[in-house]
Amino acid sequence: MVRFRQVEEIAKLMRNVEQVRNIGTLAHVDHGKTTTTDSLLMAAGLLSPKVAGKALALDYVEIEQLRQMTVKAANISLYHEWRGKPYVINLVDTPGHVDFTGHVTRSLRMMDGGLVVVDAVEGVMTQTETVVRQALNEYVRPLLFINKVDRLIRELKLSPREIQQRFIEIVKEFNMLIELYADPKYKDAWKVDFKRGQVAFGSALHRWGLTVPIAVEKGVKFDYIIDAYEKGYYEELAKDFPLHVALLDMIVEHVPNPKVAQRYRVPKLWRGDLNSEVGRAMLECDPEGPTVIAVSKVIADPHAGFVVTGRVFSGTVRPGEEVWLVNAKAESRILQVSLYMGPYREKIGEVTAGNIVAVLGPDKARAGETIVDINYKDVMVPFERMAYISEPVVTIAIEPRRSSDLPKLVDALRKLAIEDPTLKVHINEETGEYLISGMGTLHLEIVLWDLKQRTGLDVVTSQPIVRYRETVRRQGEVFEGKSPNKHNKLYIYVEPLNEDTLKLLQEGKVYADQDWRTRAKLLREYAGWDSDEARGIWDIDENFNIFVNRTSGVQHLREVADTIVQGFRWAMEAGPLAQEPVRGVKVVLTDAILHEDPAHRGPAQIMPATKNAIFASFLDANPTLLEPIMKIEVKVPQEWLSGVLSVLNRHRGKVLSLEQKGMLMKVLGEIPVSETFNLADEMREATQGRAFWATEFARWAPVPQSMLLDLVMSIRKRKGLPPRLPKIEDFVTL
Amino acid sequence: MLVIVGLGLYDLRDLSLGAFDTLRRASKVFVELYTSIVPGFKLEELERLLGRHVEVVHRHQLEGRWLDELMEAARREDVALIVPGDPFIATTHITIKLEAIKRGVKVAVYPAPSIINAVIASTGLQVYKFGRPVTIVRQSPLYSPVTPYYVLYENLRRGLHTLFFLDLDVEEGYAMTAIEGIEVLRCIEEREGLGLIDEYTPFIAVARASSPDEVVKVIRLGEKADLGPAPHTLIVPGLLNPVELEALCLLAGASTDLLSRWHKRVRGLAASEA
Repeated sequence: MVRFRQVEEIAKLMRNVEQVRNIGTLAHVDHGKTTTTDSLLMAAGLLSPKVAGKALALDYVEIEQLRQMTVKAANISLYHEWRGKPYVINLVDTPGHVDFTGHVTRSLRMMDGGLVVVDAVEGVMTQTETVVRQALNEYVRPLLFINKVDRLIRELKLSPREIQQRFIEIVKEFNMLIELYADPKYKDAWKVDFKRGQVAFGSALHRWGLTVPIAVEKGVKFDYIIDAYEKGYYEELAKDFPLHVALLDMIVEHVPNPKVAQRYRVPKLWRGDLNSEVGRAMLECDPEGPTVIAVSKVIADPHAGFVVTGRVFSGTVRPGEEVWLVNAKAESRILQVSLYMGPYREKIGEVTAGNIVAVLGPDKARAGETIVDINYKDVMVPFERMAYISEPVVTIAIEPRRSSDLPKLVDALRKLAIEDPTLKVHINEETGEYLISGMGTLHLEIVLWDLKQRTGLDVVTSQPIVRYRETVRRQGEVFEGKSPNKHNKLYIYVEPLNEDTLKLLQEGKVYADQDWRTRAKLLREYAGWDSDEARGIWDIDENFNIFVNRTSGVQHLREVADTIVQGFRWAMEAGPLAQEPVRGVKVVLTDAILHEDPAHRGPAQIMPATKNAIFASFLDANPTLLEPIMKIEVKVPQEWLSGVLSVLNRHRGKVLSLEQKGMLMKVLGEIPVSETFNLADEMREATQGRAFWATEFARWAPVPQSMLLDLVMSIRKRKGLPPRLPKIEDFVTL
Repeated sequence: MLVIVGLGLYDLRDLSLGAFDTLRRASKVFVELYTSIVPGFKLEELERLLGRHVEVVHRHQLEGRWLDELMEAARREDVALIVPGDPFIATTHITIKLEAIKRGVKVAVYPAPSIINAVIASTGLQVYKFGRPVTIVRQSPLYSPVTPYYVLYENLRRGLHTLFFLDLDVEEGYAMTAIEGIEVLRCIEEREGLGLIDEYTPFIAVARASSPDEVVKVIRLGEKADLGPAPHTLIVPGLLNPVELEALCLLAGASTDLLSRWHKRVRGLAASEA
């Protein structure tokens, strides 16, 4: 009963917060995050040494094994002894593919330290930069593990000196990221140093690892490692220098315990009053304080219902406790408390502040929810919204091969969307088609695979379709939108939101149900808004459009405010050009005339009036389509560079920089998503498979003017819309 | 020419002879049936009497592009549009008339009995003493207007009666009953709390005004009353003169007790404002 004993031991340790660490692994795709995680799992005695490195225990969905990467964050509590003292390490596994940065961001709130895995050959890549930046944003301290050292020896045949040189380069690049992105307070303290044991190196595949202090202590030199590979006894390395010891030692020593971490992280992650009872309890990580759980993930378990995972910032979570879900505005009860031992959940009597918990009961909770002791329901301020860096950019239509399977499919899609906040499921009202939108083609492929694994359903899907956005490029005139009965008139103009406002929205600093004073202040100070305008915000939708009321003294306006907002949302869901979502537009109501009687100013009258006025002004405001642009990074040997450049060239790609990196050329560029569907094949062909490359969502950009009309027409055709550009007169009488 | 004809409240016999004559001569006849329920109306009967096809038009047509077609037809020939009740009372059809005038199309109107004159006959309340009428609208998360409650308040402060039209969506098969109307007012009372609506507030419910099976009844909050099918109307009286008081007792089975108690309250409300 090894496992049982460990659950009990871990449970006991968790109460002693100085002996707890919360960490996660972060990496560029294929740099070996999952293999690294498995080496750590081995330390918990859950996997035999032989299985780790092959079984990829955290990848318990089959597809993840196939793709050698972890799609969904899982959690595990590990046991480790350092200098004779026991520790519990809550390990949050985060996805390695950038399509799922939504997961990464949510996971970051759970951890105080991040183990950044970097491939020794490829070095710091785009996504390494992305994850380090995100971690630092959330005050997560990054530590470095240089993985795949075996490749330096066996493939590149580097000498000890060259290996050392390579390490120094990687550490330099890594520290550069910290210099660039860390809060000035932590810039110097958080840079990593070999000598102080803040960098580990080794091979997760062969399960060995070292830090400089360990190497010094054991008196081992690089010649020995190289010799082990050359003479074929490298399997011994795992016994002499087990990777998990190097990594866990480093983590215990250099990642702050939750009590220390919460003192500086809570003010950053939470915007409530730090002097309130809840605020003080969280700062102190007080197990006697009111229960507060920040939910990072919700999984629909076929047997248990919804498993809600999150970090306990204060209090002690026990079964039977009455809690309040702040965002869902719902009461609930904790039915079961457990912790993760790899893929398994183990029931436990209680989990105290500073730890990660899995609970059953609060079925209405979603990722990002704040759960609080019911007695604090009226005073609790939720954790700040996670700032999503990406927005869905690709859509496919999906239907079951047998129409009788539709309810099953709908149910499964609903569950997937709950688990993965970056996945959007919607229905095309006209065609009845189910559409799923995600962060990229690969994201959707994985969702489909997951769907098939879970339900066994046979589904038919459409070609991926790029999701464009509609926006405007200048301020439009004020137009009068009339209700169908012509008794209500709304006067509206639109204009583009400025870059600063969009940034505040994207970073989640400005949002819909925010205190209006705070919001007005931010917009005034950081985005140049006029105070009256900033105070008049009625709504902000999820595609970053803002509705502003600038009327004064209009009778009955309050009563129809919700319907006007609904009309605004309706217009923003599908713009006038091609019924693509609208993005980055400010809609301003300047005046309104409303019918005396409430029966004649209902939603059926007000919503069209709102939409018509918006669309008219939109068409007047130099509208265009925005297309999603990916950042692309390619590392390729010099002789294949021209192949890469010509592939980019063919696909409206743009090269931003070219850099010599040892024997490789590093190309940084941008490419529209619509041009990436065949990129893998073309890149392989053009370089005989010699290019390492990766893409990640960068930004939205207006499509070239020369393509605009054709693109609008082709989208309209696909959607069965009239094949002509809409005119202002279609929406208002001039 | 565009001829706008009121259909009246109960059945075809509410049409005036002049209207009937014009309908027979018109080259096209349309009828909209979404602004009210006319319990005794049968389309086949109308078609038989007129000896011609009558086309039913829907809200989305009259409030949409179809109106252009109507106007173009009316420019060339006599086109009639039949509307339940009186064509302009408690509808928004005035914009149709204005649209025609703007386009140079002549308009003729045949008024007809409206709920406003019907309830005066049914209840004995006097026209001089009504305040603003207002519609009670179904409450929904998106739209839950409190206007009817405040119109009642304003009217009561002046001692005036309030006629409530009740929400109707014929195309969706919904018609608010008097009981539902009272419930909506009670809900608003809960939120707004001016103390207007409680079990001592007299509601005069008129069901199927001017029909042979018309029901007029004073009911109270929480009271169960069988009023029969829609259309219903509600009135909350203001100050009552002796003739109105007598009428309500005789025509609506009101208890003198309830009414005099209410009378005092309304007087108090008016006085507190003065």
